[in-house]
Amino acid sequence: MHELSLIGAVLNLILERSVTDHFERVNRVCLGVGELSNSEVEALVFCFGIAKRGSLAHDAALVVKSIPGKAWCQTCQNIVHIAVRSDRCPSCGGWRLSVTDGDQITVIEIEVE
Amino acid sequence: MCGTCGCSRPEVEIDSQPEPAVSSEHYVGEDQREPTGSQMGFHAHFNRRKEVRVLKLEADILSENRKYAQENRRYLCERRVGMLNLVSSPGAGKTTLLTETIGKLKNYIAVAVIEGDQQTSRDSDRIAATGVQVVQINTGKGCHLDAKMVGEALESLTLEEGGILFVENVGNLVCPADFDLGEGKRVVMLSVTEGDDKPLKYPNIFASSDLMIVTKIDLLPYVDFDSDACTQYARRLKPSIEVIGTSAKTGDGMRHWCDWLSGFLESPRIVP
Repeated sequence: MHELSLIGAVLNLILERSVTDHFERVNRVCLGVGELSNSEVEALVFCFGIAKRGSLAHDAALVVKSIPGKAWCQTCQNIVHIAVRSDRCPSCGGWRLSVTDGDQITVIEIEVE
Repeated sequence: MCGTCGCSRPEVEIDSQPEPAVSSEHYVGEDQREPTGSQMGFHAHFNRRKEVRVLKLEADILSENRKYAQENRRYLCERRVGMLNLVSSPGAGKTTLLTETIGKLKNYIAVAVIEGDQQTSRDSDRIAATGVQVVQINTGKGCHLDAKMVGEALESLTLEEGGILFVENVGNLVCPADFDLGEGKRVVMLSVTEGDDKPLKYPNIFASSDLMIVTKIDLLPYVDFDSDACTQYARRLKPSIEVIGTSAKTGDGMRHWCDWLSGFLESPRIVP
């Protein structure tokens, strides 16, 4: 359940930014979660619901955007889409893939007041 | 459109595309909180609102952990200490392999261990019995070590220059994958009793590791474990992953593992 640690990091980030950007509450938090990341969206939503209580994001809605998984295929010399890490290259069927995108979790934006 | 009176004034000032569902939700809350009525004026609800803004952050959630990991890496590089992060499922044999390895190394190089477990000091007691320095981190309900915890543990160790530091992570093939501890290399361990398809089932941890140790190979005659298939699965996820088979019981593969360790310690390390 490392999703709770990740949500903790999101709330820490919000707290830091509330000082530099002068806001008192957060209405919406938008996360970008990569298809190849190690986190379950449902678990993130669940943990956010619990951890936000009493924070600046107490009433905030959580929006999760999925970021597609991309990998460089050494055989095709091209960037291809993969949905899970154990996927083959959709063009050549090979395994010589290095992930280039979609393994991250980011706070894309927050709506504050 | 204004959610209260229906005028055409914008509800919120957003520097990206407005999202009506969020705005209307907000306005319901606002109306409940604030008195309405003629004495406040027709647009009193605008005047009393604070400015609503959207802050574009594009911030990596794991960046805070990575910052601590880089600090650990710098601290270790300055002392020329090689740190390995050992990850596996519970019961793969991390502590047993470690105690056997310490027995072979401790007369030649300084060895220290950071032990991560949810509860108890059972593993650190086993390590302490070998006579090397050990620090126990109990994560409580936490499912992984993070770089900050390791940084705090580093402060309580007296590290000798040129030595090796093993971090035995919490037994878990999922969560530790995301948390860089500042290690030089990550070593994933997998016992033959767990099945050869583990890399496909838990891809992130194998994709982030530099070495896979297949443990308990003395049990190979009794289980259906295809070593070649396992290696192939791991290399689908990480083409450069090295693979060593070991048995702490019979000593098979221990030489190979110790050679790998000396190669790791001799490899140049650049202070980040």
